[in-house]
Parts: sequence; C-alpha cells; structure tokens
Amino acid sequence: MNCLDVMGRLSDYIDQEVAGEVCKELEAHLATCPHCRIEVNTLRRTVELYHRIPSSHVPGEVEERLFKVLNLRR
Amino acid sequence: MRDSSKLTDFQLVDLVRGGEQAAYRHLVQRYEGKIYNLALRLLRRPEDAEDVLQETFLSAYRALPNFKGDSQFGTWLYRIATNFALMKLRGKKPVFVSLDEPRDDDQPPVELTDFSADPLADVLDSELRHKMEEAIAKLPEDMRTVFLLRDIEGLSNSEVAEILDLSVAAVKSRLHRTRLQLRRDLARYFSEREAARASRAPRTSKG
Repeated sequence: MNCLDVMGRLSDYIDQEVAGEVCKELEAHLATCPHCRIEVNTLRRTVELYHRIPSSHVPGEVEERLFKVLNLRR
Repeated sequence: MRDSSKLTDFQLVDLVRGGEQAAYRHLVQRYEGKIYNLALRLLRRPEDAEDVLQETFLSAYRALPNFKGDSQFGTWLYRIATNFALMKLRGKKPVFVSLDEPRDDDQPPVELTDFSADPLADVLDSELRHKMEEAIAKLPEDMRTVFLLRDIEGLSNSEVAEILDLSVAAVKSRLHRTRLQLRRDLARYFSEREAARASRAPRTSKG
C-alpha cells in the first residue's frame, strides 16, 4: 500500500470501516510513513473537534411558540 | 403513573396513534434541540430555523398515521426537517454546486501542520468554535447537509443516505471531501494561531 492508497481510505479508516488484510496493510504503511500519520491524526482530530462543537439550546420563546402551534402543553 | 420519558420512540408513536396526544410532547422534547440546531446550521437565520422546527413537527404529527416504522423515528424526522430546510434554502439561493464534479478547490494535498497533539479540551475555545461554525456556514449546501447529519448529528452513513436519497457511496465520498476541506481550514487556523503566538513571545537576546 502506498500514500495514495491511504489517502483514498482516510475517512473509512478513522470511521473504523477498513477491516481485515486491507487494515493491516494500511497500518503497516502508517508505521513507516510520518506524512500519512499526520494525515490520519489531523483528519481524526478534525472530526473529533466538530463532534464536540456545542449545540444551541432551543430558546424558551421558540419552544413556547412551537408548543402553541402544536396545541401541546409545555 | 407512567414515566413516558423512559418509553422508546416507537412506544411513544404508538401512544400518539392511539389518541394520546400528550405523548407527542415527549417526542418533540426529545428531538426539538437536534432539529433546531440542524436547521440553524443549514439556514443560519434563527427565524428560518424556527419555521423549519414548526413545519417539521406539524408535518410529522399529521403524517404519523402513515409512519411505517421501517426506519427509526429520528431518521424519519430528520428527513422531513432536511427537506423543509433545503426547500427554504433553495428558494433563496438556487445555485446548487454538485460535488460529483471535480472542483477548482480540490487542491492536491499540501504539507500539513500536525495540529492533533494538544488535548482537545485545551484547543476548543470560543475563538476556534466561532471559526468552525464559520467554516460549516461556508460549505456548499450538499457538503454541509451530509456533514451536519453525519458528523454533527452522528447519524450513520446509511441513515444519511436514506434521508438524502443518496447511495451510501455518494454519502461517503461527500463526507470525505468535506472533512478534507474542513481540515484544510483548521490547519490554516492553527498555523496562523501558532505564528501569532510566536510573534508575541518575548525574544531572547544574547548576552
């Protein structure tokens, strides 16, 4: 496996969707290629950071209007 | 008295179908935050997100008798919300950039700064959060939709494919390209942040 093969499987790899022999080959390449390790680590970090980005609360008055439209009690 | 908050979505759906309207309140409370945030990040204007929120839950309530249960209730709801949000978005901005065509910004890989070493909690400050929200907002609609459903809402590739009527392969391909673009933005941000820090650091002088 070379760097280009790894690049094509980056997302699948960090999503743990690369299995078996292909995964072994990919990890063997990573063990020897610092450039590809940075590729994997920074892409994984990107996904982790976005996964942690906080969400907004539904503002109280927005929820109030929603329940009113739906004819539900809060 | 029954504790409805412990019931599954399917059990609550059955209660609503059986005429217990109050059970719908629990479903709304379970999903309103997710739907509101998705709509807000897709449309950006809070008043538009509120419209989508109301339209989604009204429409889902009316369609509940037809809900087959082939998919999860949440997936079904996201599908309704995404459709409303995209209709609103396209009504305003009809330009649709398809990811299936190569684009100019698909640059060859550049030398990346490794920004993965610092602990997550240390780097995710308000400035970075703002940059990240900006980066999401700048994505073309098709990339943004896939990314929000998959990486922000945490749905699976097959759920996203179902919601957007795409193949799983198309979802994966869009997701991958989006992640690469967002990483490019983050790498740029971290490298500028590092440079700014270095320029502020006191210089050591000889002597």
